[in-house]
Amino acid sequence: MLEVRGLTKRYAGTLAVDHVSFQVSAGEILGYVGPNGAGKSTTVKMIIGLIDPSEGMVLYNGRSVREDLAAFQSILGYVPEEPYLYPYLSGYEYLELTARLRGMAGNRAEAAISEFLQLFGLWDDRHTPVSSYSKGMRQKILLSAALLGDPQILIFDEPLSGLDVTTMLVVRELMQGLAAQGRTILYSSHVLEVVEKICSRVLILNRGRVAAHDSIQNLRETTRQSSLEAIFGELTREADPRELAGRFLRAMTT
Amino acid sequence: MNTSRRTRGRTYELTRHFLRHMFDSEWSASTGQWQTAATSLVALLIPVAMLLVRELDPFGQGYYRRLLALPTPDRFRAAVLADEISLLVLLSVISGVIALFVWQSLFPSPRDFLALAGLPVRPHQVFTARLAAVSVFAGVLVAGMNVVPALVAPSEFGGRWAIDPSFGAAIVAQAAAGLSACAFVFFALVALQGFILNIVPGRFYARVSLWIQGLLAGAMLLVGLRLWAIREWPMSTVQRIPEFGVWWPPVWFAGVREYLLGSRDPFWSEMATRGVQALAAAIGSTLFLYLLSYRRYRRLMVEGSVQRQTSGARRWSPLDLLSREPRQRAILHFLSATLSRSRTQRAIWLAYLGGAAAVLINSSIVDGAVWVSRRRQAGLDFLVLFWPLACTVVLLPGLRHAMRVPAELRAHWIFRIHEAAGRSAWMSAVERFVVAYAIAPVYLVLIPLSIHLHGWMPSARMAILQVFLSLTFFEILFQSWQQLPFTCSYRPGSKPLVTVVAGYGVTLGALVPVLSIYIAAAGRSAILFWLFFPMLFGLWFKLRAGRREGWGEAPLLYEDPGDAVIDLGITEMRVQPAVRSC
Repeated sequence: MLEVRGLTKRYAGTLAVDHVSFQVSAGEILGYVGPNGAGKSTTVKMIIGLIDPSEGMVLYNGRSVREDLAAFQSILGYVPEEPYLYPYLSGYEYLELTARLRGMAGNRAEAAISEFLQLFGLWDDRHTPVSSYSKGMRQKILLSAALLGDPQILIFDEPLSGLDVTTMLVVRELMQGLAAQGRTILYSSHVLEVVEKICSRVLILNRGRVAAHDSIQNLRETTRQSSLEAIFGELTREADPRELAGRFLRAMTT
Repeated sequence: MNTSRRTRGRTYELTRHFLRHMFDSEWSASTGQWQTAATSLVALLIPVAMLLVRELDPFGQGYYRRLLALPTPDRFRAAVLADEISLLVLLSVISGVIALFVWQSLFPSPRDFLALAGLPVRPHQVFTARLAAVSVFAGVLVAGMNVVPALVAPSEFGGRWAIDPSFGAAIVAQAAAGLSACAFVFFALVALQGFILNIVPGRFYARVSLWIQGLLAGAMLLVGLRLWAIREWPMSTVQRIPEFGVWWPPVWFAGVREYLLGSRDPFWSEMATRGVQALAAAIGSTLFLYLLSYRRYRRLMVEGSVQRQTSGARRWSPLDLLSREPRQRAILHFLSATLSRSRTQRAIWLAYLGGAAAVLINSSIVDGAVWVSRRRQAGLDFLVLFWPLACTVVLLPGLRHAMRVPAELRAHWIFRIHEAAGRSAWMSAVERFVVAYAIAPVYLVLIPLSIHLHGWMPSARMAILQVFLSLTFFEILFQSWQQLPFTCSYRPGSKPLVTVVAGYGVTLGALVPVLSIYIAAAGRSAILFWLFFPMLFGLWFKLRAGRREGWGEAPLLYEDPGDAVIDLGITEMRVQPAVRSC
């Protein structure tokens, strides 16, 4: 079980994440949602060890991941929010780099890489530099990299960004399949429809704080809203979208 | 829409934008960082230019006064010509280096094209603006560089034996020669890039262009280092200029000066004509190639770069010999791919390779020993002794420099999330890579030659000492290295360029020759070898142990202090002061 306890991050006096706590059990997908700048990606980066928390801790099976970060990272798959890759490497080379960094080598790595590239329809472009890839292709490379090495914990930060409809459906099914196999999944996204469909519980973050954390059914009952989008709007909305759109239209003609 | 009323037109705004970002290319990690490097360059060039003035040279004071006192003008005029040509070489080399420095800004790039695609800007406006920016930049550069020489040279080269003693005429002649020489070199390089752009297929353009950029940088350095030899040409060499200088641009522009001063020597008149024609051809070619490139630009640069590559994976690489461990192999392949494919790293590495070639070739042709059959043995001895250490001194800092500059900084998250498991293996891979890339090749080439020249035992003694000296230099240079290459943000200019160049001067001009003499002696004498080797080995061992202490424990660095840190998407990180240093 992955547990986040009182996680806090301050940047020069600004509180990006404010005492966030949650748990994700094995076989569970926790939806992690919130408006832009709510602190979702910061939380994710603290969990995976990219940045240090100002306060709080991340535990896996009851032990702080900082005690043995290498062991924690070795069972972790991560898809970052932005598809930052080395543009001069080909898709195959990038996956090969990832596999080797994970300690995988030889036929096992080659077989896994080839399989992922074929499944994602990237086989014909495997030797093309990533700089020539579309956003969707880069996202597929990131998904493949996250899945290499059979990780037990998967942290997806907007994994469907740029993917075509078919691939999105495949990845959705894949995430549910991974959860069914007992993997722990944290799914951070703005696509609330998908979150609603695949996540057992949802944590809504607003301005760095937990605005709500419960199962979708309970949230519906508590807020008396029919959909996650409506719940999200009620908990995080600060301006009327229609009024805001009207202001944009007026600004364009000023 | 009336927004254009408040601006000065799209072409003007674009020109201003291009001028502002003329230096913001692959050499710097972020906008504006070039300023530090440029300040350092100016700080370096001022003392170099001062050294050219004989009256400021402690060894050359009274040089022209003595020549003016001679009964005939021949020696005075020969000395003036030698100094004039060396000055024109210096100005040309500086122009060339600056043109190479802004190589990526000389023509519109695919990035310009794509970034401006969504705006109401026509391609011809982009081209016009880029050409205007390049022209303005060249004009300011060339004029600025020639102000001081146009005033100083006439006062130094004046006197009773001057062709035209008038100070005003000398200023005009000097300015015309200097301006023409600089403009010729600058626009010739612009035209060359335009030529490459038009003859090389789009997908190969970036690679070919970079190789040419690197080769030209080496050539510039090679010519620049010949400056001091040209200055000391004796009268006999100056008199032979018509034999060897007919196709040498500085001689053409020296001809411009001679002609404007009133010399009617047919050779110098011909050279002056050639200089004017060359300048016109360079500017004309630039304009023509801009026009031609505009016609072909989209196909060459935008569409040509999108090509599916159907092959490329190598089943085996020589790097695999360096390690069998997957994490080390990951780093070795990453380093090799970055160094050979990332434009920034390739440009820096090529510049240092060019620098090394320039130093080696220059030092080897000082007295032409290599090429003269009766002195060939001495010349080859020099290669075997001097080249390995000289290469180490130039290439190791070069590789370190290239490795410090980040390649796609925001992509380094992949290393950060795997660092804890692989830190120690990674550092070991870096060590192996540096030794294999920057130290081993020169020894692999020269040791057989050394064996051929000196036999097995002396060669073995010499090679052992040289290798350990190279390794010791590596230890010194990488003593505090605590980052994965190409992944840490970088702030250029942290060390003044004057200090860097002075360091190279002292090392290559004094330390390496002294060590080479000692190595030669130790090669001949086993006693000397056994006196020197234990000390050297001990020093290397101690430095190595110090460097490796703490490997795998201390976290690697990803931020250079004071740098504008490009984060992983968290804006707040930008305001957090970096506390760790690279």
